[in-house]
Amino acid sequence: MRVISRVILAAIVLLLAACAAAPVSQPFNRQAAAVSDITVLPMRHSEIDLTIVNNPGNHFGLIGLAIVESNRVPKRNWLRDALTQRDYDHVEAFRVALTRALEDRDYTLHWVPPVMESKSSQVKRHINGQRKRPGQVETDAQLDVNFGFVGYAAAGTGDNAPYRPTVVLNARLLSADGKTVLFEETILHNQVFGVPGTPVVIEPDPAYFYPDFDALEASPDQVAEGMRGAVEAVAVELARQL
Amino acid sequence: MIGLIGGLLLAVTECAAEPLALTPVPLAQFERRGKPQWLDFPQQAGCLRWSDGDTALAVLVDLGALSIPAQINIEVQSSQDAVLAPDVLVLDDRGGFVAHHRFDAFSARGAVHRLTLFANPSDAVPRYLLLQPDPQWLSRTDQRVRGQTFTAVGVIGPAVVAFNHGVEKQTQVSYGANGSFRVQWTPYQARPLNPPKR
Repeated sequence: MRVISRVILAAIVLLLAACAAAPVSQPFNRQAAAVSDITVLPMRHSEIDLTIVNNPGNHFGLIGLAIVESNRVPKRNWLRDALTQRDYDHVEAFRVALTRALEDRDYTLHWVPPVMESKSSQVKRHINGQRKRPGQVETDAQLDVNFGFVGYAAAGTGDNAPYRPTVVLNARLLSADGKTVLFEETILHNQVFGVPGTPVVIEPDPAYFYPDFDALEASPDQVAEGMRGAVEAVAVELARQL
Repeated sequence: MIGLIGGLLLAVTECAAEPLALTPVPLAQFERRGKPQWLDFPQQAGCLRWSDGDTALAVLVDLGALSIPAQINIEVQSSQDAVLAPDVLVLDDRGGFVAHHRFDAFSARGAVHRLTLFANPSDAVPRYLLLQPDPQWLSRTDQRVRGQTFTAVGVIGPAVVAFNHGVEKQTQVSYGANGSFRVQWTPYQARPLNPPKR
């Protein structure tokens, strides 16, 4: 009985440790690695999202969760529609910004079509989106880059927790055969999620600040501009790290 | 006020005429009983007079004999409202120029700003780091935004329940010559590229 309880305790500890595992940060030693041509692997499927971190409704079981979701989903859908109506595609915007920023640093990027996988893709990935079994590429290195979150997020439900454009980006540069990690980083734009470790943090532009959803809804053009700025900022920061 | 006092101190203190004339801080000082130590920049800094007559507070860090290749991390700690914003000159064992990095090259990482440098076999071997407040950042301020979680524990009938509540904390930080820093190095493990056959 004692052994079983110890095993259960160990399992709980391991489970919690896995939940709290900090993202890895491995800086890139560019001088030691003769990398100029990079293949960018298709990104994990991602969609514009809207969320309130630590919504107290989440603590009231399935009923609470259902209420939270029934409130959140129409708002998220409005955000997606507002951005689509303004011809905003976060993946294409990221592709353009990252290509430009890395070309400025004398890299050549080769994007493998499709730039973003379909929702039903069977590629096996870790929870942060990185591939479990990267393959071989014909360039010097391969970039596995994925959105963990992209959209608008608020730190809480109160007036002191406004919606801001928010992006979590996980990136890993691998050798041509996919066996060696040359660089690994998580970049946060608007640090509202409790990401452990020391990810790179970009402060949000104070111009895009919406105390509640009504304020967000009243300024769709600005909301799209804010999103554009946040996605570009993480692309530029990723290029700077390389 | 602090700037004025610092200026007066510099005016009356004898200034080193070159970086290597400053008393160097050895890397061992950034570690105590195996734990990394932060050093206070104003406490460690000495006065340095450049050839053009300008004076600055500066810290000379002695890296010792690094085994190359090496990864060097320079970190500054953010306090509630102030961040040390150093400009970093990398020097060889004779005080010759190896590299220069402004504070823009640092990355913000939660409570620290970090600059990672690599010393590769093909480079001049770095021996010293000269840290001075970056003049371009001295009067700058930024708004920092962080999500914070508070957990409240309550009793509902026979059950003890915990509720998380989130708020956003905004702070105005100013960059300057005050704050703590540390330097650490680790041997860098070369990573094989395994290039494709062409």
